[in-house]
Amino acid sequence: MKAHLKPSVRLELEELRRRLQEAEETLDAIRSGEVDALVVSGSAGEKVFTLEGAEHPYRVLVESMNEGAISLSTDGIILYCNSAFARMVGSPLDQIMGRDVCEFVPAEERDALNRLIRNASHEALRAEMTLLAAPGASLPTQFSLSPISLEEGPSIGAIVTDLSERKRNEQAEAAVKMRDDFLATASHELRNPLSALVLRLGLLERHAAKGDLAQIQPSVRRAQDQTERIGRLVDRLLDVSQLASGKLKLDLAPCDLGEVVNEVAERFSEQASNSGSELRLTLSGGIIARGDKFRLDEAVSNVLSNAIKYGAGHPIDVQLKTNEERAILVVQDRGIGIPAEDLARIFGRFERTTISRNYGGLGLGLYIASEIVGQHGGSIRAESRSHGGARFVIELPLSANSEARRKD
Amino acid sequence: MVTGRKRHPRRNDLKKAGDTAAIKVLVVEDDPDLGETLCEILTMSGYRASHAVDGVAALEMLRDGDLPDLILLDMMLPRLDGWGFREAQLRDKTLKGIPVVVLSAVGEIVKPINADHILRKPVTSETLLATIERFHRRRPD
Repeated sequence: MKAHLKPSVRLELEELRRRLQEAEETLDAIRSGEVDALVVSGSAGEKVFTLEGAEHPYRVLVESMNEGAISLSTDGIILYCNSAFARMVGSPLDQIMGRDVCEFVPAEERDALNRLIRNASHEALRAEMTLLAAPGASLPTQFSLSPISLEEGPSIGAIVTDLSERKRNEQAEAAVKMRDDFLATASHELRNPLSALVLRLGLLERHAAKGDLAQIQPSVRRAQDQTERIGRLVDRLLDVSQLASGKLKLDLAPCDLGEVVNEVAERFSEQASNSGSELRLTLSGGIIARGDKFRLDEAVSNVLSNAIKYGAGHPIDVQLKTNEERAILVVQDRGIGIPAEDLARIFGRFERTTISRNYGGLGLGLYIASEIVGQHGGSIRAESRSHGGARFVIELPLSANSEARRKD
Repeated sequence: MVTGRKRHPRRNDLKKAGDTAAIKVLVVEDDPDLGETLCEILTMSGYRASHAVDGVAALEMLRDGDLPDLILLDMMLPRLDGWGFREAQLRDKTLKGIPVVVLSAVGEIVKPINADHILRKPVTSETLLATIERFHRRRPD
């Protein structure tokens, strides 16, 4: 057939084949990213379309973002990242691309990030993650992942937002709120004993004016009681302030719990008998916990004084025992009990529970007790008894090696 | 926000001619020390004082029929607080005419309270007695 073609036709055909080939190669090159510009000849002359030009606004945008931007393969390999992300993790760009993104979060968060990446192939997701920066440093961040479609196939786009500033603001706001709450509680709690004291002094003045000596002495006694009450309150408020700001330092040493409970019971025996309550102790010996004796004494005192306050007129049982791992202290009164809905609340710092108000309590003792016990790695709970009365159970770890856990 | 009412409607029907018995004050205060001290001051100053530790106890005492000439009311109370007590009091025909003086710490009046007067804690005995004298319902016209 060829032989029959005119040479001019054959040349034209060759030229068309060449152009077709060239067009196919151009298309391949575009697909594989080897071409960065197209020259299109038209009636107005030649016009150059660069692919970089088309991407340019997006590149500028991504590079100018404060947020880290990364694209990931569906199995979490970093295909691309912007310089903000490189700054966040403190590595040069070329040492980041090609690595598993999980290397940039702490080991304990890797499963979560892997799950997130798996699920982000189908839907946009976000989660807070810790981003490892320079050795030893880390940033709180939010990863926002969404499926994207790249030439290479399905991928995941991730925007990584640094939350440090937001977290700092949140912490500052929480601290301010806590301080306000604390001041409100402090002034509120001080108001009643202060009122009583002011009025008591007024009474004293009248007794003195009348020369009513018989009345003066009991009134002075009452005024002293009120001052002591204010002093105790101030101490407690300081404790609360220290506990709330995490500044309470525990002085840990092996501590004989039986001894602690005995001392507390002795101290409260007069108050208990004045309010018609017999303290009945059942203490197993040799129960040693690693703890701060002074603070444990305070915790037990608060629970016992609570029992005496609400269980007036009835015996109070104090039992110290142990199971294999923990020391268990049970303080049980037979007083008014605690409404079921208040059982958990009574350990709250600023909870104004019915019962504590009813008895003019400071309302902070149980909070302090629960914080102290918590900082020793123990627990405290309250139970209401069906036949009346309340039962407080403190559990403390026995192991001499157990470090006191800080409760955040 | 606080709403106060300066003048209380007179309940002359309750005022018996020639009633010379002591003026009765009901102290509603959950703090036992403060409650006792208030009662002591009132008693010493010639009043008859009774003490209720919360709104429920106060209503029970009032419904038992021994009506006071003034109620000294703390707001933060267990079981039934000052607002709840005041609502119940105002719904009760026989109780609503009893003047109420609120005794409360700054910041405790978290919602408006309809009362004849509000005293701030800590209050001196002079202010307390002068206020009671001014608002009790047997005061001279």
